[in-house]
Amino acid sequence: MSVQDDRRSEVDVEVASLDGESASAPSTPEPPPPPPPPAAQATPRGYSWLATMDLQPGMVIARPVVGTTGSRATMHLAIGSVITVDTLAQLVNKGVECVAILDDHPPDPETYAGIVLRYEARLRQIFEPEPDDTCRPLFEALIDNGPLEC
Amino acid sequence: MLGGRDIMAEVPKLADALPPFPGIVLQLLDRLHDEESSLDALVRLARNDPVIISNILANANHIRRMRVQSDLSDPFAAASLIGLNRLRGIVVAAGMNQFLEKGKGGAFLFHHSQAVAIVAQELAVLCGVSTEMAYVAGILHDIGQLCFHILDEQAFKEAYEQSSVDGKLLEREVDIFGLDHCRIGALIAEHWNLPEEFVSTILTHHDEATVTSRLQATICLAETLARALDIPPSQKNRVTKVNVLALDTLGLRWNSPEMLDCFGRCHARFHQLLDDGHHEGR
Repeated sequence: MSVQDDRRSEVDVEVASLDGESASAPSTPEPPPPPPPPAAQATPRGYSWLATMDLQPGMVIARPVVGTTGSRATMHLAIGSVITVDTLAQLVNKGVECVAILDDHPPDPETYAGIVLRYEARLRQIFEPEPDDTCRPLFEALIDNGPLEC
Repeated sequence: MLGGRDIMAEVPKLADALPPFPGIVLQLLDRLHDEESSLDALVRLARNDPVIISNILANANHIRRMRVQSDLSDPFAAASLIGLNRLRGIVVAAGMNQFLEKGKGGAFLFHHSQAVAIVAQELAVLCGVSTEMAYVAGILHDIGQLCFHILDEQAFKEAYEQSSVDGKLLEREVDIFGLDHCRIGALIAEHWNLPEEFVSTILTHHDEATVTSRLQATICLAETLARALDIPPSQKNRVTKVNVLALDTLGLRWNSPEMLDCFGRCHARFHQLLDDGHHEGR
């Protein structure tokens, strides 16, 4: 496989817009409200990763994709591109294994909060008794990233 | 208990009891550095392998059907439609998965090896390691456990179950067999004349503070990440240490945007593989 997603640009702005949050910071800082428990503040990321062979025409790309031939980038699909049959053929041809697709029907917040709670409980089991200093960055990245099945 | 020396004498017999290492994958690895390696040459190598050829045709015909075109049966035409990148991926994945499927390792080892191979391939994309080498090393990293299944399946299963509680698998393997699965796996890889990079990767894939090569660092982290992502889902998945030197060597950070996408890609690819396996009746 010789394909990488191009995540070097637009990442913050695009993720923010996919999550339905504003990308601009408030001009006057206010004291932050007390943090709610993680599951209550979690929102679905708004996209899912799908294997290339499961893609269908009409799906919308949610993360940039760059296809390469050898070491040269020869294909770039931007966020918001709609997949066509020809796009699909190019993705296969460039060896792209999977693509992030915008969710048509993300779970409602209550359902998602339950999913997050189960996900975090399972992660704590995997890293028990407690993540040590070598494991903590991975554990925290997985918690921050949220569940993968949504 | 079998002594370590006894087992070393048994290596040729053990190697015979394992499925044959797929020659086509070795030939592909030999040609990896040759950017001009032709698509036709690779199809000629693969055309006697029905599983690889049917994978090539299935990929090409998936595209043809979406274009409302008739199916292809010529592997050369199919390969030119899907391209060299995809073709290499199919040869490595289909070749190595066949090897694993013929082994006597049980469902968890089968799926764990596939998960580590996929995660290794995705990490390899992020850090510039050969994705084909990463996939092969991921499939082979626990080859020593296949040997223990052949030598004494019941004793190994018991040791494995006990170790899922305290994580002391390597120590128990030494108690039972005289050496651990990393060591016996490396001996088998040497017996097969695999490149030294594979031998040292298999030997040190559980080391918590050692890096012998970028490939080995990739496999160390892939082993950890596959368990952290719970692929395959199992109560046996535990993470108690991360090889931080491997992470530094590859220049990776767990919380980078690239890595967060990598988590999603690994998860999606593994579950698609499981779905395909169920459709094929495994």
